[in-house]
Amino acid sequence: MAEIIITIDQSTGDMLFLETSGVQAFKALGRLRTRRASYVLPADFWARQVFKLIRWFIRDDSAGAAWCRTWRGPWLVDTTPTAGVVLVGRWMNRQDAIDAEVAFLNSWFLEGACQHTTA
Amino acid sequence: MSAYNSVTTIYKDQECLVESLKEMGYTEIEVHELPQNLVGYHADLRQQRAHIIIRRKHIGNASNDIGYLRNVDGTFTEIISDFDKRKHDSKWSTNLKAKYTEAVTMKTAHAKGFHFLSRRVVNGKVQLKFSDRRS
Repeated sequence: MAEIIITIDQSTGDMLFLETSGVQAFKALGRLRTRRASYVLPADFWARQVFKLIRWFIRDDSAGAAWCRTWRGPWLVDTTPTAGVVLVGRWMNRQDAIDAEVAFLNSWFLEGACQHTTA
Repeated sequence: MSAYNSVTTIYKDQECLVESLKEMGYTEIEVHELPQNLVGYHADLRQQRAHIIIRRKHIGNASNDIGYLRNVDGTFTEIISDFDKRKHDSKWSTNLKAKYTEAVTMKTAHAKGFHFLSRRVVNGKVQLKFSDRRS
């Protein structure tokens, strides 16, 4: 059962939500802008460089990108495009890192403050 | 990698717009299939027409009607006279838009069969949580 979280800024009337399955209908409610929120990357420095290099050259929906997602952890969550921080914590399971990423971003959309983060 | 969407809401849903205007305190709202002329503060018939109208008697003695004209593409254009923009300023419009956004989000979620879980308000932001039972 997937969760869909919509954040409405009362000072503008605009809405924010992560790109997940089920949000298509909400995209049609006005002028849409889609931007990168964060990255889940290998925590190891050299593995991260190789990962970024590979992902620079291949499409996000390619088999190569899917293969990169099968790498063993630990993983980190980098929210530089939005909150500007790398989350404290490393995750051996990539899905756990994604879950932490989603929880953090939705909290950040609402509260704007960064908890459990490191610059 | 995660992406996020920001949506600048556009008035498209008549029902939600009327509901939001009611929340702003205007309980007497006319809704017309065909656009009707707005009335000015001299009780004069203005050239501007609208499908959704708040008559001046519900706004103030010196006010003009406020209207929302449905365009060919289904969006609504707000018609507020310069005089009435003193009371119905950008802050008022933003409040209305925020109420509309929440109303249309709830309606869209309901139409998609999502189950409403919670509503949180923090520092002027509202967060609505739904579950999609289909996935």
